[in-house]
Amino acid sequence: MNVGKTVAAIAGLAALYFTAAKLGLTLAFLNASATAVWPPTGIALAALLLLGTRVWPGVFLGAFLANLTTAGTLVTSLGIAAGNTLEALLGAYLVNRFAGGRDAFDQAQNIFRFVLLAAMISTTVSATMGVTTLSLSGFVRPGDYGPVWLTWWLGDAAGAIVIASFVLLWSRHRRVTWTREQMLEGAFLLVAVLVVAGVVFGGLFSFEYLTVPLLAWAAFRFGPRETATVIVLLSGIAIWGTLHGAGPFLAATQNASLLLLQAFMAIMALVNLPVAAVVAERRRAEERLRESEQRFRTLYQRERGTVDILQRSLLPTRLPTIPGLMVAGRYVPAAPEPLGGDWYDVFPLAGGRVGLVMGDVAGHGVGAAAVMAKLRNALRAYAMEGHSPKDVAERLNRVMERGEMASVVYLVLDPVRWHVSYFNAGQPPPVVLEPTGAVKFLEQSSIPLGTRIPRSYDEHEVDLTPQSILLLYTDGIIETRTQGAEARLTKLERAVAGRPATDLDGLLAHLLNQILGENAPIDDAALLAVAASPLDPGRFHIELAALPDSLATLRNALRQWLPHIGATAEEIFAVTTAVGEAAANAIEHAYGPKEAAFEVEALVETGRLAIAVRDKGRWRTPRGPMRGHGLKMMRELMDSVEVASGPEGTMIRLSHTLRNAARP
Amino acid sequence: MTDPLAAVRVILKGDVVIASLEGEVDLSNAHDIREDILASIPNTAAGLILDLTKTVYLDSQGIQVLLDVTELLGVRQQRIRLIVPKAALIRQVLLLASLASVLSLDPTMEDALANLQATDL
Repeated sequence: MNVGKTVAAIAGLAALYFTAAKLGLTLAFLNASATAVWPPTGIALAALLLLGTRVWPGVFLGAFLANLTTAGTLVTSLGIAAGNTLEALLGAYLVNRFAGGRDAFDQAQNIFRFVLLAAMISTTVSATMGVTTLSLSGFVRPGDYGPVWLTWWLGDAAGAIVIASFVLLWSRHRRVTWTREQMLEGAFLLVAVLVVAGVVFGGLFSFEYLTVPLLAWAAFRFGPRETATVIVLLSGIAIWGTLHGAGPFLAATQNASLLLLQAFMAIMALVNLPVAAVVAERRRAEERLRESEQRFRTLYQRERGTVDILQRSLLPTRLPTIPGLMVAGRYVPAAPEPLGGDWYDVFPLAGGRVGLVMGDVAGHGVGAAAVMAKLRNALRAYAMEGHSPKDVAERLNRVMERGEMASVVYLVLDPVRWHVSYFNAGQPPPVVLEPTGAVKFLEQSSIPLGTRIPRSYDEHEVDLTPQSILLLYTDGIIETRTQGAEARLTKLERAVAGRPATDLDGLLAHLLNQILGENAPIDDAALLAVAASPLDPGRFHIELAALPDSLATLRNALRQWLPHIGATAEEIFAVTTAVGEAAANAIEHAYGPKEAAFEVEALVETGRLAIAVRDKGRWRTPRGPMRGHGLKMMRELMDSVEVASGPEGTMIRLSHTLRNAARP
Repeated sequence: MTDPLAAVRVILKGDVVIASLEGEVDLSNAHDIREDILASIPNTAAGLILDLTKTVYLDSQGIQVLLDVTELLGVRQQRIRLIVPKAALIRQVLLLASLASVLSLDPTMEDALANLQATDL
């Protein structure tokens, strides 16, 4: 604050103090200089707390002038002014030091400290200095020292509590953000205060405790600021009534009446302001709690959203089409919330084989989902590089960081021979449902990945009966709160036994229904089922990417189908080779670098096999001498070969009469 | 990377390289197989016997590999024989389209060894 402002503040304070003091001194009945109503103490204290102690000359000036113009001498006025100033300085110092300073009325504990330090202790300075000065100058008779001192002290104390709380609270909380309803309620409260105070202190019903509910209303429904306001209003009306000879505080003398009134108001303030502060504190705490809850909820939902996105992006959105195989997968998130970390995967491998994965990362949340992403991608990469299950397991174990753990089962299925090679690191045993309805488990397993104990993992091989169903699942399926894994496994066995291999989606739905019923699993659960597609002996159809690797897939699919139409080994070789040439031409000649597909369709009719290989490119003129050899080979191996090329693409028609011509 | 479709296994018998081609050869791996076979023959070798007994599939790209190897060895003045058993399914592919005149086929290892020694360069 600069000098000009300080001087202005001092002058303003002096004027305010002077006015309030003159008002108080009009109520001095026992002694011209001692009054039971002394608001200046509260004004001085609040001013020093809000503006700083440097404005003390305002207190001195106001007090000096008010006293000089009322009674006594220059000396008594100086003494009294000095006492008032010291009282304010001491009070401000103690409140700043021990009671929260200008925010003293925001906390119950500080209010009690304020009352003790500023209202009861520091006021003794003013009372003692004032009354002593008056006594020494002969303005107070020696016998009156006690009653005058008490009047002085109580007036100052009441002023400190009632006025300072009002001023401090309103200057520290200026913004009024009331809703329409609150404004209405405030108006009701004001009317109630005026009516009740009028009734009580006007003498209609002189029962001062009628004011208590009004203070409780203000404290609980509004706040400290409004409570202090009600106290000031009640004090004013009470003084007015008492001076007019009405109300509950009427005593033998005017002074005694005012002392009673001030004591009552001080105690009302002492009780109700802390209550209002506590209510406000609780409201603020609730607000903070709500905010922090909201913040945590947002964070939590963000994490859950992340887990969800990761989980979705890592599960196959569409299972790959693998010739000769049907595949179905299900992922059931745990209740009440998905944990993440379970995954399954299906991908084609060279030679018409297929990789099947079921994995479960220990832990949950974003961390588990991230480990799962790493393992899923590493496993795919190693598998597609042609590593055996054993090598894949050992390499996966090496990409695990300290503290990460996962159980993974990885199977390589050859759908032609129904031969499986696999490793199982800690997953529940895969189930094989045989065509007879019998259920077998692939029991061989080792400990989970990430345990760092085994440097090598065992690879197991097993020949399955063709037309079996292979079922992989995570322990979320077999573990529940109410039943142990053993009982669940038995239930799984029973649920799967005897189910036909025609509808895998139906099988998985049936399984989930039988095992979980209406309950969501306690851990995420994943299921993957694989079976041979039922072959149609009358028709073969496949669509493949126009990539060299598709050739092996095509051959394997043909080798599965051709025996069903009675083709001999030589015929299988001849057809496979001829169709392979047609397909290789489709791949090599018909397409540029962009991804494309070709399809092969074969029909059998009265012992004659008609095959069509279609693409959407153009059959280019063969380059080099051997390029034409593919065409030559097809002609040698098949009865007839037709190449039809157009802007839509190329179609090669092959036909072959089966040696074991259709036996109707 | 190990080729999941086919593998070339090589042994030396005196100054003759015997390479066995096992598996299937098509557009996807023909180039690699060609490199594998050529890498197995040192300049010092008198010749190569390429054993196709365990070759279960051979498309026109695979045949091109055999022609390339035969031509290259001819340039290097090294001899080559291919073992293709009489009952082998791929035999019909190798016999067609006048390949028989370019490729030297033998049904057994004994025939191949004998013919390799007898071949004039």
